[in-house]
Amino acid sequence: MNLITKTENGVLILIPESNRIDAAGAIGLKDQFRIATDGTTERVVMDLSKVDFMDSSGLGAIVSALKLLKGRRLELAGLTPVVAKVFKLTRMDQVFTIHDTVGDAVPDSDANAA
Amino acid sequence: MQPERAEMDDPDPNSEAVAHSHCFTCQTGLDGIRTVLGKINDLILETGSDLKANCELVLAEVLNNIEEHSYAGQDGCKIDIHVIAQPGTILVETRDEGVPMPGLVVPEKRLPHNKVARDALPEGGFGWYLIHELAPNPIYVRKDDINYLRFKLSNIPVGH
Repeated sequence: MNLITKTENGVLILIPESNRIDAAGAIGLKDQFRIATDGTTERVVMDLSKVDFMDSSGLGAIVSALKLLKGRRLELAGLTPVVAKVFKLTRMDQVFTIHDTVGDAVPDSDANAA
Repeated sequence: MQPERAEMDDPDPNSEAVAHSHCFTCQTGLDGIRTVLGKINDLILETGSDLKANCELVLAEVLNNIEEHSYAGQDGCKIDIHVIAQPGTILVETRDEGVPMPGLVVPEKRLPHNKVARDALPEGGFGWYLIHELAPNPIYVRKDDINYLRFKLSNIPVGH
């Protein structure tokens, strides 16, 4: 699974290219995440708005991605209903910072930056 | 005009008359599970999006478990899936010829802790919790070296 990477106003935005984060794609996601974030210091936001299916293996991959950030937060944005349900039922929504949209996560100006 | 044998005489929305029964076979490995989930998803399009989404998630967890544990990650092993879809309810039975479930029982419903240090956060162990949550009281039977798992999803909200 490929991760599209871009930087906007000092925020590293990662977009999974697949519309599914499942058992078959979980390991690839973790590897791509490691490559995309290695050596970076920016805030990291994963844009999940294109992901319409995620199972518990996919959730596990996102938790392992969080651990790779060594103390930095992993922020998530644009959760579709099924993805939001998996986070909520497993209570892992309490572990991540979740934004409604990527736009909500990225400051419009430097004055808003944390 | 000659009326058809009256559907109206039978107001039960779960009537057998509107049930659709389908059998699928999936091979472990590659995109086997994804492919069969797609086929089943197409089949249950008419039963409502929440039920359909829940069914896809529960079935994904069940099939992943069979692939990973019953067949120990081996490719090319067969899983049969029987789906009965009717308005508001989906019944599913899976059959596989892998190893028996430990203790011959369905793993219990237990949610891994989330109030732990970041490095100790769980990366697995959610699958059976999701299955129990969305398809309460799944039934497991081992007979003639075959594992049978039966579960039911319905539109009735699940209480806690």
